[in-house]
Amino acid sequence: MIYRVRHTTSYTYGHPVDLAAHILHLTPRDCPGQVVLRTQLECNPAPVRRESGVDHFGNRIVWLFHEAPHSHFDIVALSDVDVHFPEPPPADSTLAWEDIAFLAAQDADVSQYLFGGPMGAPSRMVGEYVSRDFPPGRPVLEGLLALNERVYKEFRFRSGVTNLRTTPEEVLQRREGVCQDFTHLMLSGLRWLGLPARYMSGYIRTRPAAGQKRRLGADVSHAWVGVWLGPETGWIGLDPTNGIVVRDEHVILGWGRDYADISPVRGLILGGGGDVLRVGVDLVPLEEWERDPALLNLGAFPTRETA
Amino acid sequence: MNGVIPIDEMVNGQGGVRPQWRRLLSAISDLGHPELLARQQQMALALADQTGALSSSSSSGAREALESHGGSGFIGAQCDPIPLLLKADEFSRLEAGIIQRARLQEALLRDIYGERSVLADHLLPPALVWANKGFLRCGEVDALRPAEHYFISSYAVDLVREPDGQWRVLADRVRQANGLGLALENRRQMTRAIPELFAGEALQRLRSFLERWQDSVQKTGMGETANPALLTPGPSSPFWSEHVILARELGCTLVEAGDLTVREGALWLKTVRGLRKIDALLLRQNADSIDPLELEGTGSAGVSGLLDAARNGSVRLINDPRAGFVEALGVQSFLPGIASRLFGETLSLENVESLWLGQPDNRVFLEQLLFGRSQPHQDTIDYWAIASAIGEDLPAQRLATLDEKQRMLLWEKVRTEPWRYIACREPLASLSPCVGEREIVPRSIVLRMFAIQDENGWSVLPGGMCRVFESGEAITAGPIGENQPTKDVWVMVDENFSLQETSFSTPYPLAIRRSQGDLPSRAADDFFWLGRYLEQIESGARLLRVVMTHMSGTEPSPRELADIAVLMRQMRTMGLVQEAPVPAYGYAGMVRGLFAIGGSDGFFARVLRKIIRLVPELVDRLTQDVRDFISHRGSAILKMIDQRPRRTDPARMLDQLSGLTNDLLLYSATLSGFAAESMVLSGGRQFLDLGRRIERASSVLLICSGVLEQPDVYQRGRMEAALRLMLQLCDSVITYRSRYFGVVQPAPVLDLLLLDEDNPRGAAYQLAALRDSLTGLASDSPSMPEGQRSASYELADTAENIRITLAEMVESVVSASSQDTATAALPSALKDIQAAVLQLSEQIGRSYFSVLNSPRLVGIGNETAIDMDGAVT
Repeated sequence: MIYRVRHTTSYTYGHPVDLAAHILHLTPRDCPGQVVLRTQLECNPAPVRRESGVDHFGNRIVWLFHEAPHSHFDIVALSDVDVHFPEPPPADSTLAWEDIAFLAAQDADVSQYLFGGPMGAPSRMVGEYVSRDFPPGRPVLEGLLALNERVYKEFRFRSGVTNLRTTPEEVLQRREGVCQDFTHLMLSGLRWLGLPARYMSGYIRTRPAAGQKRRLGADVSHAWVGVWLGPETGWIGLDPTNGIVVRDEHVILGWGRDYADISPVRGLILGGGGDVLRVGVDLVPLEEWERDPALLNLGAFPTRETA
Repeated sequence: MNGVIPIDEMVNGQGGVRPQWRRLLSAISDLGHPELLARQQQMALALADQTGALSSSSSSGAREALESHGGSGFIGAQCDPIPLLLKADEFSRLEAGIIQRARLQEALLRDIYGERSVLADHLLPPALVWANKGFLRCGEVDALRPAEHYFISSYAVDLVREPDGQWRVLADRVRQANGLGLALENRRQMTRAIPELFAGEALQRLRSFLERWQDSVQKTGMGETANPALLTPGPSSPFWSEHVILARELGCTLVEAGDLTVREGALWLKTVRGLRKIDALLLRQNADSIDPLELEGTGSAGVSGLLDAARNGSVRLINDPRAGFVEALGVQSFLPGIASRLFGETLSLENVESLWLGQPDNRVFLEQLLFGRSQPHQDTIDYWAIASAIGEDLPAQRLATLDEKQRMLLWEKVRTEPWRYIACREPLASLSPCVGEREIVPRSIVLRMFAIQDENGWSVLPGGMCRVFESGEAITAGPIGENQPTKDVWVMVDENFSLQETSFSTPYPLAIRRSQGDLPSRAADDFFWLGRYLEQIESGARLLRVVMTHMSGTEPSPRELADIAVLMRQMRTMGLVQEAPVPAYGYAGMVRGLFAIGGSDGFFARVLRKIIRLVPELVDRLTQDVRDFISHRGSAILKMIDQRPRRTDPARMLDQLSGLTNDLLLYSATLSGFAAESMVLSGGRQFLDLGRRIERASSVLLICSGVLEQPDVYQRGRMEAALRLMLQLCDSVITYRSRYFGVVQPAPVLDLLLLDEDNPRGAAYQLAALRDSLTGLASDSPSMPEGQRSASYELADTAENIRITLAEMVESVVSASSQDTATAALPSALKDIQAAVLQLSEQIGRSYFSVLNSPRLVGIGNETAIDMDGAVT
């Protein structure tokens, strides 16, 4: 499935910002199951300095530096991405979870996802919650799917009750939160068991309710868990917020140990105050996009002639 | 290790003095113990004066404490007069070992931040890489080949000599490699304070090593003269003295993160004349907080964009902030295997014994140590400590000090995340003679040695810094203690050793610079406030003195009472008292109220402390005379304040207060004189003056408005008294009398105090000086950016406009039909003008120091709500 995704971030500052430096994780990366066909990122006002590159995890990043006073800051990222994540192998055919833990510790790259980042301190409580799905010798994917399902069923989706400082333990106690909280919870518990897991940042396709028109900018950023099934299968995605395996309705921006590694817009600003932040995302199959005048009006890649 | 005794550096196993010590020992005994103690104090004082360390201590009068307590009560760094001796052959063995180790660390870093073959080949367990606090996850720019650079330019290593005679490594230091400055300073102080010891000793000099480092720091890749700086956390850092000394030795500007900014991918120092480019930055701040944009954490400390500037090659970071990786104790225990794989060599300088607890066998060993009934091997718990294996800033825990419950707790932590911890055997370090309070005593020592890398390879300092441990004190891999005594380290010259001609490229000729144009904004800000505080002291003391002349009789007349009421209000306005003592409380009550102003919590003590606190910040910009005067004389006054009796009879209290005001006025005046005579204008005096002028203009205006704000002041009698009071408070009585004799009228008084540009005690003089100084700042600085230049001219205009407003106001009094009535109506206009002066002060701040504001981090947890949900259902 080919999607077009448009992600707008717009800051309005109460007081002008004199100096700003930002690192953006807004450009999708190529990876098994995902090909980025084209992508562009624009910002206003224009920066005095712009660099692009990759972070430690191989995610695409853009640095922007502003040195003139400005009272608003808009970023638009537009990408066409072809996604088709293969179906995972039958769960009962996967290796026992202890074997996966052992293999991960031997792997020069995968081993890094055994260790948490700044946002997830290991917790016995979370570890015990997660370990219920991992009795000795259970095939790893069976355990993972059971856990994904359990988090989906036992936790209520509710925004506004948690924030970036909420710990997995608190989420476990509240039994509610948003995609990010469920993701951090699973990461923390899986790592407690010695299983590698990573924080996936990206988008998920939404459909307007029957008979309703699509609202522009109404999609959102999303987060889910990347888990490793051994050197042959590699990584797959589990979305605890929706209780599903990631197939062809998610687009990956990138991954890290936790949110802090891959915050979409991280910056330092001098000045400002009373800032208002607006974020809008549209994730629509390319076909649909090109037939929808409202979307076309929003953003299309410039053709060679007009560029 | 039970029953094994440590090696003594000076005495051999049979109780004989080792040959290389004989000459030194006889020189020491010639001097005698009391003399050694005296020389030791002399060095401690000299060292403290070098760095302003003493000045930072408050009213307790640290210097006096130091001088009066004989051998004890030392404050700050102290150097033991007996050096550690290293024979030439011993040094060359160490030198080879250190170079091998430093080369290995460099190669390991190259691998870790490159292909990571040590991980793929299982030479280093993943936990020690991925959970290592020194492993920094920085971004890489597309298509930018990283410039050829060293991860480690300066390296230090802590060594102990164990009972088998081998030197072993306690810790590698690459993040900051502190102590080189202290090593150089120790040597300098030793040659100065105890030249007798050096007579006839052939020892290697430290100079050529330093010159080599200077050379590599001070030139850019292009071969041009670089502008290097040393980044310090500031005077609150325990290593502040080290930073001051090292910056001076290497010719670096000493800067704090707030002094720096990154613009268009380059690093700049914010100075009062605009930005000055920095080409090399010596990091003496935690590497993980140098760039809040890219490194972990949610703080905004550091310089945002610094890593971007380093990546594109416009600034060289020394050392590379990622180098801290190799400091993790867990990594060190795997070095022998890495050396053999990467170099095919055996590691000649090994670590002291340590067991990484990520390995199951080692955990079993630890469990035995903690809970076992029979101790395995010869080990006892007494020799072991648990430390962080991954470079976390945790103090090592000595097992012997833990009770049963604490052991359980520790074991639980180790079992949960075993890879985080390492068990280290405390070394039985060698002993070396030290000057104790009553005699020469042997103490355990740790030797820190230093190496640098430049395009010609590695070189090792033929000397070092030796740390002395009290008996029983834990010898762990922790950093140097704040007040830990140190020793100079002498490397003897081999008889067969021929002095090498050190051929260093001749220094690049410096361009002539007249002004110290790179006064950092922060220093300018400090000078500005120094000026304001000094003037606050002066105007406060002057006010207090006038108040006291009005209190000469115990039975004041109604007219005197009215004056006193005005003065009391004025004291509140100027901040001398919170609540003015009401005259109705009677004479004794008022005297007590005044006496409190001169007390430990009073106005003067508070301002004096602020002044003294500024000195360490300005240590490299004030001459020693000025520094000593500010801090020593200031401390002496503070001590007097602290030591005066709480209460005594009114006459004695007034006597003491009058003594204090005299001291304070003299203090302030002397400093002004010092500044005028010995400071270069652009080196900070300009800002000191600006501060003074602002404060004085403000206080003259406050005096005039305050004194005129009293009931019935339009009446001739009251008006005359008010005008006299104004002249007294503004210290202009004599000038007035010389012009107008005894006749006091509003217009001449106002002219003298507010309009006359020649009266240094009047407001117009201050405003004219502000105008000229601000104009000068703009016009003398060709490098100043256009925006700042025009802002500076605007500030000068503002000062001039205030002066003109004042002049028009006085004109209106002169031409009024009744001068008394017109004058009585002035207070509100005067207050407006005073407010305008303070506003000008703020504008000066914004124009020259505002760059000191710190940025905010966004997008990483500072916003309360998360803008994501993503539920489909």
